[in-house]
Amino acid sequence: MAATTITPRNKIRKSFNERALSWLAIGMFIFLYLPIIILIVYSFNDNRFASVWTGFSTRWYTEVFNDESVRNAFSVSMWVAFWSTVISTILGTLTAIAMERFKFWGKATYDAILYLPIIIPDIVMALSTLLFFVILGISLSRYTILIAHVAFNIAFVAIVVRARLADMDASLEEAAADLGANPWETFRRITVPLLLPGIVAGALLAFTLSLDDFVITFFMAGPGSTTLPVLIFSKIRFGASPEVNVISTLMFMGSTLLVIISLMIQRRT
Amino acid sequence: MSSAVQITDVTKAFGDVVAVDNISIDIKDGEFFSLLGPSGCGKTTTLRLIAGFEQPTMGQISIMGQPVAGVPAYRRPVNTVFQSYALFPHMTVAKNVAFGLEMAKVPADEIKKRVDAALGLVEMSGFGERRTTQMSGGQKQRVALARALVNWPKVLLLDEPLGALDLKLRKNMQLELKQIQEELGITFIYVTHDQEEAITMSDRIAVMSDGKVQQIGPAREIYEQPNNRFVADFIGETNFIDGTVVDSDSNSTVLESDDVKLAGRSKVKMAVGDKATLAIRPEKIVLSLKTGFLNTDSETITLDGTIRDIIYIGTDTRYQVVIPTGDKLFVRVQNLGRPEDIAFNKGDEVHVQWRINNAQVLAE
Repeated sequence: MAATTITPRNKIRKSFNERALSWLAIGMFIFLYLPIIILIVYSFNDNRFASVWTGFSTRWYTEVFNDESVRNAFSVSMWVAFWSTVISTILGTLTAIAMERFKFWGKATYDAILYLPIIIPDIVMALSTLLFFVILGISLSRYTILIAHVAFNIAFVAIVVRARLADMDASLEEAAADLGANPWETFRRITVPLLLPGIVAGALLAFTLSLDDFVITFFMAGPGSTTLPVLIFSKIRFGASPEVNVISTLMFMGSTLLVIISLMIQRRT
Repeated sequence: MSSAVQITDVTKAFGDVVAVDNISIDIKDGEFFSLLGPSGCGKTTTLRLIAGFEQPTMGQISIMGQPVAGVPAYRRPVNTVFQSYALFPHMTVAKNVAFGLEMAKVPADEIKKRVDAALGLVEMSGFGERRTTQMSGGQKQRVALARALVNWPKVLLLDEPLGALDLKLRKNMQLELKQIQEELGITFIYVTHDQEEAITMSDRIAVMSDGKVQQIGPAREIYEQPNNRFVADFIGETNFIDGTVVDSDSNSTVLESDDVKLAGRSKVKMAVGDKATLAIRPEKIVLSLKTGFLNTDSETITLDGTIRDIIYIGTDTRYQVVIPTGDKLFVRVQNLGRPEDIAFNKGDEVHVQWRINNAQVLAE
């Protein structure tokens, strides 16, 4: 390797570049996070108008916790997010294994179609799914939200799990078979444990995507099946109440917590 | 001796690519058998067919007398040591080794005993609780071996197990593997592209190329009496002299090349006028100065030669000698260091001699 000598001139240029980069980074962080910080600060605003600051108070938190519509929306959100995560994680993982480990007729086509939900605009997904339910004569409820969420989440889970699977040495599964493990034992004792970080990451992604989806949910939501994002939207239509700030802050905290958990799980393995 | 593995007329095709082309091999019980060949010759595919990771397109395989067509890998009485070791990264060494016994529902106390014994056999006692991810290549190799042997397989399959180790460690492991095999009396089927490794360890070798078996036999037979040019060229170093058959019977053949008559052993009677090749190993050729004493008899070929090039390689000196046919032959002379040994110089006129029995005439 050629030895690199740092001349003073090099040093100056390097430090200038570094400084410019760090200012750029700081600017980016402000641009990204300042609105969120303002949102959090204003969730503690005493004023009943969301954008005028009068003093610190937690009264809107109390209001939110006592608000029946928020509690309903929260339970619908959690119910949809939980079940769509469970179902899409199982289906997405199996899909990833099928795509990565097996050959079957029409695989290339299926491969291309599988990732469509990620590419096509939400609004198209929403309209087509709505049309689908209308044609079948299925009335909108939390179940239709769930089905729509599973539909787009499978693709995300499959991508994450498949990346992990592609990194995994296929001879590990052969080694298990060689040592007398039947396909089910191999799947249970080798494939799943080694894929677990990918499966957990996929599940957390699915959970967060489901939790903050608005467009598709808005079209699927039937009477009494409002989720938190849809509730926030309907609330600001009647004027921005500080309640909206509070709900948004809580959702932000929840998502951040999920991301931290997922990072911790991935670091541990 | 009974057969451990019998491969009969087996062909394996992947789409249009024929990886294994109508091979038949009979591996005896307790034998150290090597599949030797360059990459892409079908040796690993053959091993995978025996293990059950692939099913033959045609033909039949029997293990310990039982046909195994349609029997999945997890029900075959063989175990494999993989080239990549394939140790389970989420388990400790002991858990890795115990895996096969757990699958076979062996009682826990017996599993512990056998795992300890297997780790002892490969000199890895005390490593049971270690993670496999923090081990050196040589250690992983030993764990992989223990994990296979602990199941007391009838046949152990090894796919280039020493490929990733450095030369010194590889030499040690070769001896150890051979010792373990002799101690346990298990049939080893060993895949390698390293001819020296195959020669050192094997009772018998199958040399493969292009999906076909070129020759099966003990190392000495393959080296001294190669079936064809590929085998002669792949195993060790060989000089080839092309010529035309002028006389032949079932065990020797005379060739003519540029008016020079050359004789050698041959395995079949060849037709007069056919093209053939004489193969002679560099260490079987003797050089002497024209001024010196010339030993001739009817069993020896004597030719004139000129020294073209000299390469000193420590144990031997390699001479390149031009003979009247125009061919350049490599000659190896051991550096014995005796006072009477003559060192040749570039341009020296010499006698080039070899015994007819040491040369092999190969059909084209």
